[in-house]
Amino acid sequence: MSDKAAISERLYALLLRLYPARFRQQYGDEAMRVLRERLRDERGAAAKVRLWIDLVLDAGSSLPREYRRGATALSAAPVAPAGLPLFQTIETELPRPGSFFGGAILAFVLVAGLGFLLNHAGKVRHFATYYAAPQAQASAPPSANNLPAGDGPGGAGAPATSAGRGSSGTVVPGQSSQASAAQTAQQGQRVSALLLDDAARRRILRSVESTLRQSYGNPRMAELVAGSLNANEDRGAYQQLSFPGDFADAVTQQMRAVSGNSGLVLYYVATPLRKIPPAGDIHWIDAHFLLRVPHAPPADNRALTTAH
Amino acid sequence: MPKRKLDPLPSAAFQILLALAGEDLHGYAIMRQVEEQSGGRLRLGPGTLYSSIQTLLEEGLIEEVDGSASDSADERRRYYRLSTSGRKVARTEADRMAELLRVARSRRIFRGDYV
Repeated sequence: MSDKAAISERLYALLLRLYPARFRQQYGDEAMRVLRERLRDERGAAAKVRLWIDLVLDAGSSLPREYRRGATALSAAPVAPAGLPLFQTIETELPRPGSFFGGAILAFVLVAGLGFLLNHAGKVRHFATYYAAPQAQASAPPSANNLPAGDGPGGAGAPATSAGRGSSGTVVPGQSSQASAAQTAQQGQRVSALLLDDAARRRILRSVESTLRQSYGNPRMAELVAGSLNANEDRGAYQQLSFPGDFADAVTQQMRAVSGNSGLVLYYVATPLRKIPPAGDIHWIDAHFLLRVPHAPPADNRALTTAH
Repeated sequence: MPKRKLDPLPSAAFQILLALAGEDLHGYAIMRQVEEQSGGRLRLGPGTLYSSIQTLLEEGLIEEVDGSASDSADERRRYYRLSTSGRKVARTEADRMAELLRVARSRRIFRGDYV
């Protein structure tokens, strides 16, 4: 037997496995013999292609019929008298040892996976959930991420999104009394969020710095702010800030402190955002972070002088 | 009266009955005979062939017979023979088709040699 014929036989054996066990048991050998004889008699590439088209079409039409036959046999089984159990043997063939082995492996993987999820749900991204910590919120400094709905800067609707969605998932500590009241009402509310690790914080900071350098009206000030963020990161100032809202607050505070420009804001948005081009003074940083960079920074010179 | 599985008789089943009308044949020979008698228009794949054979066996229209003496012991294959009721069903189906042909002729839908 040639290699090609052997491959064809193996492929057809796989196709035959789609048939019910009863059919394979009764006619599997005969069907293989028919295939061998066709392979022997039908030579040439065109004939082989036609043979395989025949086989596939044949399987497509005969498979449903064979499974229907099994279902018909089942429905024709005698009905048990009321209240008496009745057992019917549908298949006479025992499952193959390989089936038991495959089933055991699959069951083990499923159970192990479930156990892993139960044990690590709080540590794995996208499964992480936490309760907004009341103490952290109470002591959180005033920041842009505390703005009540409507206080955010215009453009792209992003800040409004951030503040407006406070009740549906954003970590929003209070700034004004109104915001504090809303914040208090949110204390203990379960909030789904991504927790930030070192790599995520680093990536966001690099993106913020880069955006500042490109978009801030005062390049020297942009460099100063970016440098201060970098220095803070090196000192480990953001290391404990796993909650994205707290991280955004800290970065906002730092940018404002260095520049004296209260228009600089890093917003955290709980609902993932698709990447958008800059809209007005709003810049996309990450699926959950937007940076506001005012076009005309006020009082920068004074801040720059103070900084020096 | 319960409906028979082969009422109406599928084309593949009728062709198999016709193929077995002449002599006992094994699966591959039935396939070749059907291809020949249908002018190459019908080539039964193994799935359709043995599925139809199974149905015909269940309905008692064909029966399995011992392999040919020319087959070696390990190459012994199953041969099939048309049963009396199978021959009757094939004849009924042929009569039905002949009647259809007569009607078609009377409606003058044929041209040339068929008339």
